Amino acid sequence: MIYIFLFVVITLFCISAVAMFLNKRYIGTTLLTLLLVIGSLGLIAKNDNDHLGMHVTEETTTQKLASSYHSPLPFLVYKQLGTTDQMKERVYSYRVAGQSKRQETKLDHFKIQVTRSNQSGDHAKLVKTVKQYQYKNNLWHSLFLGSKAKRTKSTSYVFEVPQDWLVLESKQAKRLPKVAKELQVQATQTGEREVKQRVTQLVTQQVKAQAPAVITAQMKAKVSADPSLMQDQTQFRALQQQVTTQVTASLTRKVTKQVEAKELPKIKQQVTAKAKSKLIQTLRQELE
Amino acid sequence: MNNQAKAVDVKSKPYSRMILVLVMSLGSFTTTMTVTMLLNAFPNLMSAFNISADTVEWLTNGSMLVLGVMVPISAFLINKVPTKTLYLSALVFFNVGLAMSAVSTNFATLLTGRLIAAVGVGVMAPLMQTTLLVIFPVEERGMAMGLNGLVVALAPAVGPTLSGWLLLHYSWRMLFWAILLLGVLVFVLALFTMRNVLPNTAASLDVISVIESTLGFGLLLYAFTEVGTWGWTSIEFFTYLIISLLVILLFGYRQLKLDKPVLDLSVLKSKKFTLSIIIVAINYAAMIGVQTLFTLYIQQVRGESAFHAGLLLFPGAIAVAITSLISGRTFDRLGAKGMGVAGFTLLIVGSLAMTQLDARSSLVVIMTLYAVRMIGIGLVLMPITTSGMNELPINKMGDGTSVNNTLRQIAGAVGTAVLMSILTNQAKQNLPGKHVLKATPLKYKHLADNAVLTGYHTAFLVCALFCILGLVLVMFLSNNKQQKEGEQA
Repeated sequence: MIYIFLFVVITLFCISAVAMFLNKRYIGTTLLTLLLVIGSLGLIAKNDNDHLGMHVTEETTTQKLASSYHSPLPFLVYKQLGTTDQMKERVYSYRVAGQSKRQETKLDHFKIQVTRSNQSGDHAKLVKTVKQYQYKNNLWHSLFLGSKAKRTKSTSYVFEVPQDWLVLESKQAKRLPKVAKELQVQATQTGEREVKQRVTQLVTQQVKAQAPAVITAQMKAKVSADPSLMQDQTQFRALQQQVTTQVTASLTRKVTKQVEAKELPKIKQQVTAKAKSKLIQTLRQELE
Repeated sequence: MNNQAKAVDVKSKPYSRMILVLVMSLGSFTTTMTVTMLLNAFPNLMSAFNISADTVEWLTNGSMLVLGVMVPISAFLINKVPTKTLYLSALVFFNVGLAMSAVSTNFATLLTGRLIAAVGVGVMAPLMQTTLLVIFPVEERGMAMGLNGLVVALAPAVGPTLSGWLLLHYSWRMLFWAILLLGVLVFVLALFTMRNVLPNTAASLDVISVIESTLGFGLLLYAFTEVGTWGWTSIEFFTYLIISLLVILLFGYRQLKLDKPVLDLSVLKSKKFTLSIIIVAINYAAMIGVQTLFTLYIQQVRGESAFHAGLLLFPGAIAVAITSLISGRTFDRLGAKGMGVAGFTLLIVGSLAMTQLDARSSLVVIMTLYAVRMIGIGLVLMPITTSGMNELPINKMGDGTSVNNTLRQIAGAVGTAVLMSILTNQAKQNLPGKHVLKATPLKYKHLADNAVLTGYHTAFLVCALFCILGLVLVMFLSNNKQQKEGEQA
C-alpha cells in the first residue's frame, strides 16, 4: 500500500509544485505533499533496514544425522576457511539421516556449536534455530505489501555428537580411511594378544583356585594306599611335586577347554569394544 | 504543403515514406539499445577480462564520449554526404564494431569495437531526427517526432532487459551477435528502401576543431575515470584535468573565431539558454551515472542476475518515458520551473533514500527508489531543454540543439566516471587488508561487502549533492511560459 501511496503523493507533489509557481496558495500543499513523500520513503527505509512492523520469530528443528560421508566410523565433517581455527570461519557439511544429499551451514549471520553427548552408539543430532523477522499482523503486512515478508535474522546450529563419532576437518576426513586402516591392523594384533593373555590369566586363576583341593585329595588317596610314603620326607616331596605337575597340567587342559567354550566370546567382545573405543580415542587425538 | 503529393527524394524519384520511417526506426532502436545494453554485462565482463569497475565503464563512457563528439560532426556529415550513403556507412561502422567486439579476446579490442560502433550510433540518431523533420509535412511532424521519441525513450529501457535475458542463457558475446544480426538486417533493408532525401551542400569541416574537441573531452573523461585509481588529490589527476580543460578552452576559443564553427558557441550568450543546458547536463549525468551504478549494485551487492537487474530497472525506464511525455505537454501550458523544482526535489530525496540500501534490501524497494528518481529525471529533461531552446531565435535552434546534445553526452560520460571513481575509491579505502582474507575469509567478505556498500552510499550521496546544485540553478529560471507563443503559430 505504501508504494501506491508514495506514487500518489509524488503525483500530487508534482502537480502542486507546478501550481505553486502560478499561484502562491499552493505552497502549503507542496510542502505537505513533499513531507508525505519523505515520510513514506522514510517508512520504507525503516521497514527495509530496521524491520519496522515486524517481530522476531524463532523456529527450532531437531534432526537426526547420519555420518556426513559413508564410513564404518561415523563422522561429521567441516571445512575450515582461512588459516585460523575460529568456529566463525567454518562450514559444516551434514547429512540428515535417511537423506543422501549433504547440506551446508550458512555463510552469513550464523552461529555454530558442537557438543559431545555422553551416549555412544547413538545418532548425532542437529538442533537448528532460525530467527526470522515476520510481520506483527496483517495490517503491517499489507502496508508494506511487496517487500520481503520473511527475513532471516540469524541461524544457529548446535551439533550434538555422541562419543563414538568423529568431528573432522575435510582434510583430516580424507586421511581417515588410511589412518583408520593402519590403526585397525595394530588393534587386531594387540586384540589377539590380549585375548590370549586374558584366557591364560583366567585359566591360571581357576587352576590356582582348584589345584590345592585336587592335589590334597590325590595325595590323601596315595598315602592311604601306601602309608610308608609318609616316612620318607624326600620321597613324599618328590611325589607331591609329581602330583602337583600332573594335576596342574590336566586341570589346565580341562579348564582351558571350559573357558574357551564358555568365556571366550565374552572376552573377545570386551576386547573388541575396548579396542574400538580406544581406536576412536586415538583417532580423535590424531585427527581432530 | 503538398501533403497529399507523393514523397519524392532529391532526384524526384517517388518512394514510400512509411517504409523508410519504419526501417529508420528499427535502425535507431537497434543502435540506441546498444548504448545501455552492456550495463548489466559489466560483472560478467569484469571477470571475463579480469578488469576493475572503473576500467569496464569505458565501454559505456567511451561510447557516450564518441556520441558527444559526433554530434557536431554528424551535423556536418548530414549536409555533406548523400543520405543513403551516410546511413549505410554508419551501419557499416556499427556492424563492423559489433563484430569486432563479438570476437574480441582482449579488452582493448572489445573497447575499440564499441567505439567504432558508437561512431555509427552517433550519426544515425541525428540523421533520423533530421530526416523525419524534412520528409514529413508540418501537420504530420508531431506523429513522426512522437515515433522518434518513443524509440529514443524505449530503446535504452529495453536494452538492459534484453541483454539481461540473453545473458541468462548465453555468454556476453551473444549480446553482440544478436544485435549484429539486427544490424545486418537493417543494412539489407536500408539498401533497398533508403533514399537520398536530404539536400546536400558543399559544407566544410574544421578538422582542428574536431581534434581539439575529441582530445579535450577524451582527456577530461580519462582524468575522471582514472581518478578512482589515482586518488582525488593526486598530481596525475590535476595534470590531466588542467591539460584537458586547456584543450577544451582552445576548442571553445576557436569556435568563436571561426566563420562556420563546428559547434556554434554563440548560443551561450543567452544566459537563460546556458543555464538550462547546465541544468539538463546535471540531470542527464544524474540519470546515466546512477543507472550505471545501480545496475552494478543490483548485481554485485544485491547478488541478482543480469536479467533481474534489467527487469528491476524497467519500471523506472517506463516511468521516465511516461513522465517525459506528460511533462513535455504540461510545459507548453504551465512552464518549466515548477517541474524542474519538483524533479530535482524527487532526485534529491530518491538519491538520499538510496544511501539506505544494503545487501539485503527488498527488490520492490530497489525498484521503487529507481522509479522515483526516474520520475524526477523525466520532469526535468524535456521541459528544461525546451525552455532553453525557446530562449534562442529560430535560426539558432539547430546550433542550440548541437551544443545541448554535446554537453549532455559529455556530462553523462564525465558524471558516470566521477560517480564510479567515488565508488572504487571509497571501496578500496575501506577494504580490509589481504591478511584478513587469508586468515578469516568470511570476515573479509563481510568487511569487503561493507566497504563496497560504503562506496555506493558515498556515490549516491554525491549524486544527491549534484542534484541540490541543480535545484538551486532551477530557482534562477524564470517561469515565462508564454514567451514564444507568437513564434509557435
